[in-house]
Formats: sequence, structure tokens, C-alpha cells
Amino acid sequence: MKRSTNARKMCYLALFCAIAIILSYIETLIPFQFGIPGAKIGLANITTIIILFCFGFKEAFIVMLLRVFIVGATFTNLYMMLYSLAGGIISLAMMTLFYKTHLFSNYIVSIIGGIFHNVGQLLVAMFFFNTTTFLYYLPYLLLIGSLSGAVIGIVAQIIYTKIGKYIKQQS
Amino acid sequence: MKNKTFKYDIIVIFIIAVIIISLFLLRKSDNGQLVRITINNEEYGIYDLNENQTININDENILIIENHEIYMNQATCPDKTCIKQGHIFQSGASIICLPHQLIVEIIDGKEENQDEKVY
Repeated sequence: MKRSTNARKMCYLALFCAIAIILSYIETLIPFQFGIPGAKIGLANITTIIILFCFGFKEAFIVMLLRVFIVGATFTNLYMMLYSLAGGIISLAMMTLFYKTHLFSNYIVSIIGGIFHNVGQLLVAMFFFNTTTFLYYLPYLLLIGSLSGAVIGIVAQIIYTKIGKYIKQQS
Repeated sequence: MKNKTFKYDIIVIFIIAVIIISLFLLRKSDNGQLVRITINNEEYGIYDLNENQTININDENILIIENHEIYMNQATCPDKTCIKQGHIFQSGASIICLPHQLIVEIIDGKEENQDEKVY
């Protein structure tokens, strides 16, 4: 029984990973530019959030790492991979922190994730270029991060209420 | 339970809004006078923003200064993010080309101007 549960869980995680990679690819096709490097909607974070709600931090972290490495190796370059890696790790850590307190709704968890995704990328950029000039973009990045986080949170909440219980029962 | 979550949500949204608005207000929005170009953490040169000119950097990036604005005209990098960043003129704004480790930033010319007056 235990083995079958694990296999189911692995199937779901693999499925989510594949969806995340496709969403990352679709995002590169959307000609939507904010005028700031690294600012995008972050469609792939939908899957990260749903995995975090359904399974937990460890599973979400592994899927996020896999997604970033595969996307970095196929669609984008090494620099973008490092940026999304830093943003992903920080945003996932903060989302887990806010989620575990059970004080906040899922939308807020997603907004926090969006904001800290941008903060992480900004930190990496400041570390690489050894300059504080990027702090100029901090307000824009926070605003865009919270807006995209809200959109992602609404979409993730809709999907989670529809399939979350089913996945939790199965695995 | 639902009301409790709602209360904390409002608090968090309020804090985020206050942080963003205060950052926007704190940011200075003067027009800069000088452009500093940095490659691989080494200073490449400082240019005057009031002078119309074309800057060619190692045949990789071509910058154009026009009407107190600077923009990236051509670049050999694959993603062309630096060109999409458009025209900048406010002090503190910057154009970044990741593949070439290139930063173009607008700085206040005040310190340099004072130096000129002293000499």
C-alpha cells in the first residue's frame, strides 16, 4: 500500500514538473515586457504553489530545482538560471514560512512569494555586479511582484479548490 | 477562522502598500547629468548626457546619447534585453546587459562639477 502511494505521489510530482516546464516555455513566447530585466508573470510558480499546498516544502523544492535546471538548460541561458534559482529558493522559503503559520490566506502567501522572488533576483544582481544601483528598481519590482503574485495566487487557488482535495486523498 | 485570516490579510496588504508607496516617494527623481559605463566591475568611462554622441563598446554594444537621454541602439547579445530597456534619463536609472556584464547608469554630476569649480 505504501509503495503504491509513493508511486502515485511521484507521478503527480512528475506531472507538475512537466506542466511547470511547459508554462515556463509559454511564458517566453508571450511578448510582454515591463522594461525591467527579470520581471515577468512567473506562470510556473502556479505549480510550485499547488505542490506546496498539496504536498509540502520538500516536494515543492525538489520540483522547483528540477524545473529551473531543465528550463535553464533548454530555453534560457546560465545567467537567467542563476537568477530564477535564487528567486525561487527565497520565494519558496518565505511562502512556506507564511503558509505554516496558518494566519494568512493563500492569496497572501502567493503575493509574498512574488515579492520575494523579485527581491532574491535583485540580491543576486547586486552580488554579481557589485553595485547598489539596482535599488532604483526596488519599488517597481515590489509593485510588479505583488501584482503578479496576486494573479498567480488567484489562479492557483481556483485550481487548488478544484483538484487539491482529490490529489491529497490519492497520495 | 475565516474572519481571522481576513484580518491578518488586510494587515499584510497594508504593510506592503505602505512599503511600496514610501519607497516610491523616497526615490529621488532628478534628471542626471553624467553616464557611467562599467564592464566586468571595471569603469569603462564617464560621458556627458548633455552632449549628443554615439558610444561604441568593443563592437558589442552601441549606445546613443540624444536629447538628454541614453539608449542602447545595437547589441550582439541573443536576448536584446538591453535594447528593450529603452531610453533612460533619471538619475539612478540603468541599462544592464547581462551577457556582456555591462552596466550603463546615470549619476548625479554634482561631485564632478564641484571639483571643476575648485580647480
